[in-house]
Amino acid sequence: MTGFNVGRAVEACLSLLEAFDPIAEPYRRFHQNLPPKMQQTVTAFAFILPFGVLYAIFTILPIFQTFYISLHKWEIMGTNIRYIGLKNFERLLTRDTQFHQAFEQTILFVALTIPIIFVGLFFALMLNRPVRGIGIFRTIFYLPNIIAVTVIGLIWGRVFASSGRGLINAFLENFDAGPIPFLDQGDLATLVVAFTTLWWTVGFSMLVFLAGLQDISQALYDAAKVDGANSWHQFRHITIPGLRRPFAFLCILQVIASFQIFGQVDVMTGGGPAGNTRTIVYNIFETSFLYFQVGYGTAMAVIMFAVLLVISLFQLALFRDHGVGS
Amino acid sequence: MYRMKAMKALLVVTMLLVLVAAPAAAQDAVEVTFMRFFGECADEFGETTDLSEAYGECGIIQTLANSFNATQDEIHVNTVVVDWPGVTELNANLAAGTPPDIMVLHGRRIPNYASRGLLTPLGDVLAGAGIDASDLTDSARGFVEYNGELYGIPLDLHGHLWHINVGLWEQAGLTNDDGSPDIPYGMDEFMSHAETFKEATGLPFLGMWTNGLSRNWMALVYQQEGGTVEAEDGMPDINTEAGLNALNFLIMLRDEGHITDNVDYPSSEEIFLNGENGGHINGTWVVNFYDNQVADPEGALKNYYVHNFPTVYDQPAAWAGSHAWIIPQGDDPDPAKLEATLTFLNYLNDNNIEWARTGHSAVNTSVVNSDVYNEYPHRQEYAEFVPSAVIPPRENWSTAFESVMDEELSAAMIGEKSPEQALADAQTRLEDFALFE
Repeated sequence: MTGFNVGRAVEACLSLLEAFDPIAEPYRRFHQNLPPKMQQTVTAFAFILPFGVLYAIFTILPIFQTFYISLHKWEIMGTNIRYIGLKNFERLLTRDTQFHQAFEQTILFVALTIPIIFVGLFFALMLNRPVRGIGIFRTIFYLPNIIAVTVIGLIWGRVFASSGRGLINAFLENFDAGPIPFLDQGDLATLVVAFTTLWWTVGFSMLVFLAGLQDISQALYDAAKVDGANSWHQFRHITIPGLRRPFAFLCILQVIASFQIFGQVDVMTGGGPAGNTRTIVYNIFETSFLYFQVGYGTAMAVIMFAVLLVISLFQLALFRDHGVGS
Repeated sequence: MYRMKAMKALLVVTMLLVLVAAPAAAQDAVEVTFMRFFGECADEFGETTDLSEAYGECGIIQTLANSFNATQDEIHVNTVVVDWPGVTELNANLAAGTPPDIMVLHGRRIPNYASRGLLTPLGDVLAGAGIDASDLTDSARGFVEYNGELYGIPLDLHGHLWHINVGLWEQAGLTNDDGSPDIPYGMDEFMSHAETFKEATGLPFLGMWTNGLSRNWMALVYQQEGGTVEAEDGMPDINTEAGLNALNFLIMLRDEGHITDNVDYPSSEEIFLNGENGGHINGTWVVNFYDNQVADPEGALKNYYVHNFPTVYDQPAAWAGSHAWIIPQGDDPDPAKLEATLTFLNYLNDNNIEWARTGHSAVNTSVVNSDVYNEYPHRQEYAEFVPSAVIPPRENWSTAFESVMDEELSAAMIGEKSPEQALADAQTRLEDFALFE
């Protein structure tokens, strides 16, 4: 029998721990001899180091690897690797209509899912009240966010299935209406995927806003009431400014998450109908895993990385101009 | 120091717990990882070892693995079910250096893997395992050969057929004296039948699912004199007159209400089984399943017949494919494991007649010529399927052929593109794929 051996793994861990024994004492002496300020700095770095090493290996290194692979013809199984310079990017930007369509579709999807932030704000405002059992409601609204995207896709895929198999269409059949081809008409399928994303992720926006709302001092509202401010004025001049940070945080995260949409598309539509719901990440998946062209797929990932970087920097600059982050 | 000791003690205790809880590893049986699609049916067939009790693709393949495990104890087959068509999982496992020992793969994909040295060549090892490769039919053998070498053992030849609800045809007066459906040949007869059927029943004559369009379109192309999707130089040849004729025919059927289209696979199947159309284009893989549906007293399908793919042009042609067993080549092949895998492969090949009960065509000449095979339900109704079978091109661009064509044809069917534009776009995309180095 080959494979993972638990006993050996434990022995290896113990050896690793013992490997630190010889350096423990010299390190202690080195640390004690440092000036007090330096001691703090060294201690801080010592704590950060394990994470830093893992972060470099699993996050930083793959980013550089992505750039490297994008300059090659590189197949998923590690076969036929050849340096081809910028040819992947040339094909991508000049000839690949499928990528162009996927890019447009992703932008549309980002636009459609931005309202999630405002729906999250609405729910947060509703749930930021001292009402008995409010915790239960908060849990219920957040619950979809902890469900795996596969499950979410299967559930809503079944609800919106195009024939009588779908919950909605089965209901409509009772009135001799439908069936509505929710997942088989381009525009409808896009809306359905956007709606599913909203249902799935709105709980997170709500949670962040809720935390932001609870961070705003009640004294400000009390003072405003004394000065005669009505609810709208309180919302306009206390709540909205108080939520700038969560708003900026969610805007950046939401745009990045929407650009990276994959699971819902994969489970619900497979990029169809007629490629109408194919997003950039789905396109990367198809190209890399189904057509073997990892080099070309990573070139798409590099383009997406560049676009997201520019958008995120623009958003950060915008929010900084409005006093967030200062 | 005390903490260190405590940590060590904790790790040792954890290790002991894991070892005690783990199943006994010291088993003599050689483990063979068997990766397949065809669905998950362990609930129904997980314990079944009697092949006569199994039905449907999943039931039969699951029972074959079970019965192999039950009949000997030197080899244990461990089934891993993956999503159709299994390519993503295979690629990921190959990339990680942990491919399955044996896997089912569509025959048309074999050149892609064989040309990269990722499959075990079987020509020299089959005889030693008791597998007679000379018994394979020529059509099936063609799927698993690459550069004159065998890289797999075919499991079946499959393709699209015309599944018919005879009860509804009878209602429309489209049956012969013996009760069999009066099958139309040629465009005029086909359209006449479709009109008659719609007038009599108010239902569409035919059904098909959106993502299977490329297969039906391809068959219609090859039914025309000189029709092809591959040029002589091996490049895609999509934007042709035959291609346009075939696409316009499909659009006309849709426009005149003769087909239920624009639905996914499960929906299209449900529509047929619910008696909401007169026929359904689907594969050989559902013959056994639909035949079983007739036995359901609550089912809407009371009288089932299956025929070759409709011939509406000059000659019969039907899209075809093949499932094949392959042995992926890992970084460090284990001879003992290969021997065990070949033993299992031999068992699967010996039981090819059981798999043929699904409705697929068998791949061994001895099976094809046997009385048992020819007496399977409905087998004679689509006897002309094999001679009319057309296989997709075996070029590098065939990897993207179905997905690109399904997408462009769907765009034309739902009115997002003109037929001419859809075919031109498909041609451009596939050419780009073929030429990219």
